[in-house]
Amino acid sequence: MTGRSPNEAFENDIQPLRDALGCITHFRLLRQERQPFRVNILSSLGLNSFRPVPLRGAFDLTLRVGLEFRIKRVEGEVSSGAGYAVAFVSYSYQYSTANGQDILSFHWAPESLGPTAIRFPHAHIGPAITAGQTVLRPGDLHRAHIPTGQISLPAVIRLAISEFGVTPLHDDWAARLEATETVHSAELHG
Amino acid sequence: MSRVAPETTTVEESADPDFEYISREGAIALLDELAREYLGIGGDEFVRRYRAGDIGDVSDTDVMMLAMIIPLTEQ
Repeated sequence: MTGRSPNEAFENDIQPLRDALGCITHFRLLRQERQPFRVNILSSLGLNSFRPVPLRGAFDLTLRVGLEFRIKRVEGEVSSGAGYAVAFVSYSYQYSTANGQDILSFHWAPESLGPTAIRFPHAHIGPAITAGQTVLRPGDLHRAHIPTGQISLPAVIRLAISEFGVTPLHDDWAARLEATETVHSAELHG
Repeated sequence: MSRVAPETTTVEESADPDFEYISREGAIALLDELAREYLGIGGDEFVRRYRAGDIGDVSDTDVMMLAMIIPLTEQ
C-alpha cells in the first residue's frame, strides 16, 4: 500500500497492523503527535506505550510490540496517485509471563548501534522456557540469537491464537490475519 | 524483565480508537520513566550510552524498546 502524502501512506500502511492487533487486544499503538510525517525520518510505534499488554486465554501471557519505520518516497508512482510508503526498519515482539519472565521474543534491528548489536532477524527462547535445562548452554540459552526470516506482526498474533491458547476477540480472526499478513510482509521486505 | 504496569501519564488523552498520541516532551518523560524502570538509569544517560555503544546487550528487549522511543523524543 502507499499514499499520495506521507500521512496518507501512514494511515494506509499502519492500519493493517491495527487490524491484526485488534484480533487479540483493545490496547492501542502509541505514535507521534498529529503532525505531518517527514520523509526519511525515523519514527516508531509502541503498543501500550511500549509496555506489555495482558492477553486473555488459556495462560497468563503478555505481549510487547515495538516497531520503527520511515516514510519513503516511492519513485515513479506519483503520477498514479501513490507517492509514499511506510518502510519498517526494526521490530521487537515479546511474549512474557504475567510476572515479566520472557517466554519468546522476535527481534530485527539492522540499524542497531554498538558492538553487541545483532542485526539479522532472530528469536530468543526466554528463561521462562529454558530455565533449568542442561542440554545446551545451561543457564544461558535464552541469550542465543536463533536466526529467523523477517516475522510479520500478524504472524506473531496468529502464533498466540493458534498455538498459545490466546482467545481471539473476533470470530473471523483467521481471515483478518491473512489479509493483514500479506500487506505487512510486503512492507517488511521493502 | 518488564511487568504489566499502568499506562504512562505522559500519553495524551485521545478518543482515536486506533492510536494514542505522544508529544516530544511526553516521549522524553516516557523514555526517562522506562529507562529507570528497566535499567536504573535516566533517559538522558540511556541515549548517551546507547549512541556511544556502551549500553551492554542491545539485543535485550527492554533495550530495544527504549531505543525505539528515541525517535519520538526527536519529532
